[in-house]
Amino acid sequence: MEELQLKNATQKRLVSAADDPAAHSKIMDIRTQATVNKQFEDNAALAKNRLVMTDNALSELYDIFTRAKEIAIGQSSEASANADSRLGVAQEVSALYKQLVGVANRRIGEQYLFSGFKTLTAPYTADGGYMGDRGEIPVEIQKDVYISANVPGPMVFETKRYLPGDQARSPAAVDKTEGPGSSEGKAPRIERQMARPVETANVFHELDGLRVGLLTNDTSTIRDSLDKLDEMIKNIITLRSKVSSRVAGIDNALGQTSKIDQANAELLSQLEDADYVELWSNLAREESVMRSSLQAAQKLIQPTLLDFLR
Amino acid sequence: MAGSVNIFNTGKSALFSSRSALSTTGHNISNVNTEGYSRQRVEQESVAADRLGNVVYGTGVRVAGIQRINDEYLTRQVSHETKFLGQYREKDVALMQADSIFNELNNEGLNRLMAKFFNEFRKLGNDPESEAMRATVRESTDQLIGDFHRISRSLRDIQKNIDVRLETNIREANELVDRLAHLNEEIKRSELNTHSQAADLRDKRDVAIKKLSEIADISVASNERGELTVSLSGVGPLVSGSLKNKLYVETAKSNEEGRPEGSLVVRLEHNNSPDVGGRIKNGKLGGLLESRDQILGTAARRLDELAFTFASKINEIHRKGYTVGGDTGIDYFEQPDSIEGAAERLSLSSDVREDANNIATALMPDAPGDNRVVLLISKLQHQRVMGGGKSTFDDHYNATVADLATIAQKNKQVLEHQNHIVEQLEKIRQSIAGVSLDEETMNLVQFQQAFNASAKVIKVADEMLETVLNLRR
Repeated sequence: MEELQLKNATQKRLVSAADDPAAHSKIMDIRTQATVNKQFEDNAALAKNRLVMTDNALSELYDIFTRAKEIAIGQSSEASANADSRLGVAQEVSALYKQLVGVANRRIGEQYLFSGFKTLTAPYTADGGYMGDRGEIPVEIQKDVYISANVPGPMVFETKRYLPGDQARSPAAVDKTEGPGSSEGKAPRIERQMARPVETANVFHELDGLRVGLLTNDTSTIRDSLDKLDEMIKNIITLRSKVSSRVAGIDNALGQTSKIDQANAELLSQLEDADYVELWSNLAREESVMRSSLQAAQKLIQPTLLDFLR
Repeated sequence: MAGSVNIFNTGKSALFSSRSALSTTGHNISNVNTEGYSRQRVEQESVAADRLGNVVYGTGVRVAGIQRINDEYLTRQVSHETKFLGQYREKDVALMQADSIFNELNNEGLNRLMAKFFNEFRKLGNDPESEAMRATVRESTDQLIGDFHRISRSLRDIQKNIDVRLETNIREANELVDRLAHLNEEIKRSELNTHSQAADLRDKRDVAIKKLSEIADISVASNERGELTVSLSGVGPLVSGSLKNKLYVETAKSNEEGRPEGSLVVRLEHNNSPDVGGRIKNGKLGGLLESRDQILGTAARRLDELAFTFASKINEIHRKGYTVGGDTGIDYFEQPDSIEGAAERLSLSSDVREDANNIATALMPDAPGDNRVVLLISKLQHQRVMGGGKSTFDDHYNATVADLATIAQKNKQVLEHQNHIVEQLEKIRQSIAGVSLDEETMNLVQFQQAFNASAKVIKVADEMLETVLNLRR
């Protein structure tokens, strides 16, 4: 009865592990899972935030490049423009350039968006030199599911073609030294940053080229930059779709995690919480047993021969 | 006429035997609540008859002896079952204490702190540049270390507590051994040249045997002089007649079976065996030794294994990383040098304790946003690194707790069961050997009537004699 009382007071089916060892160990498992899942949800929210910020930046870049392209188209033919008008829009291009540097060095809190692992270093100098690295910061959004929460600057500001297979590199180099028998294959998918570009073109240099072309009234340079700008716009569009598919992936993971959480919560309650109907019926039964045994004892204690010999 | 004087004698013998029957009944009644008391009965027999001519006259009654009503077999049975009861009880006490150490259903324990530890690393992975975050990681590590210490110390405390109980029980056992040797002697002396048993002494001896078998697994044999030989099963004799061997304890080193360093071993005087503890299986001593060495010892060792692998694996990864200052090859935990005592000695390395910036997060120098080492560490949570790649840290710890809980659950069941058995046997023994007040009261009335009647016989004899003496007047 005392045990039932305790269960009633705590509203738990289990008071100690010995009550049901199997259920207890399952409870521990679920709890750990719940704690970890909570963290994954936080991770996912954080990664999503970064990616959305990145997407915003990319969208600004798109606007910059589109505007630059418009200018280049407008100024590339002699029919619609002349040396004076080119001199005029050169001003605008140099404003665009400043805007570009601003976007490239955008931060969330203390961290620069586009500098790879060197998050505390501004990634681009005013003349377009890259100071960061190509690190992609992995974030675990589900057990064993890692997603890059950033896009390193070169992928955005330099158009290049990577050799196929260079990007998706499997397990990090660290795990390799763990020796045989270690769980090598399951290590985080942390990408190394040494894809070899075939051909590069730096956005800053291109935009500056356009400006110089405008200033020097060099239509062939302006026309040349059109191609490059086109490629950059294409690159931005590809990147944006990549980023948004990552965001979709995060949303998907969040949905799955919350489903798991829900299922776990149900199971936990089943394992851990006292069943009221059962508890009360047990209590009532124990009470009646106790009553009847007390009554029986009362009867039994009564008569001895001594009572009759007085 | 057989002589009136003979009638006096007959009456007198009846008076005496009634009186001794009455006093035995009184003795029974006064011992109604005495532990282990067996009711006694006066055995009466008629006195050899006188022969007078062709007629044989009875000459009364005499007390042949006082017997105790007892079933030897049942008494042994009770002792036999009691040794399991003692064992299960001691195990139950130890297991309940252990259970409360590991119980984290309603508060934070190692399982939760471990999950928290890995989570803090994940948070650091989101924010490897932040020094505050590093400090938080270190803080949660301190909590985890604290809990490792708490559990290993608490286990050790229970083991020490068991040693104290072991000593107390050995002392009690020795007192019982003394008493048994003494009772053997007394019983032999008091039964010498008589046919009746020294009932009360034998009862006392039975009680001592029962108490001793609650403490240890003993076997008992008796000889024709009524002396008992009591041996510790599988070890050697404790009492033989009036000779005795005593148990004693000694501090000893740890051993393979999980005995902790500096705990007690049981030894027997005049016995070459260095440690008889391993052969004591039942009774309180058996239960205590099993709890200390096998059950708690195993739990403590598994905790040490956990602490050792945990610290080693994290160090292994951490050493590959670069700190804020660009250093590499730094330990996170003080690298434990052996599994034994790893849980109790677990601590942060001095580098990390002094400066949270010495927590390595990056796989390459000068990359404050590089979180890959941190992720590899948090990844350890789900890797099967314990027991040769069979289980995760969580699995290992949960299995340790579950094993203890299963033993506790099983032991609780057998304890309850054993309680019933002993209770039942006690009841049966009580129904045979115990004093029934109803019966004794009836006897009281019966023997009183017999006493009155015997007195009447003497009175009648007296009147007859007087009649004869008055004839001369």
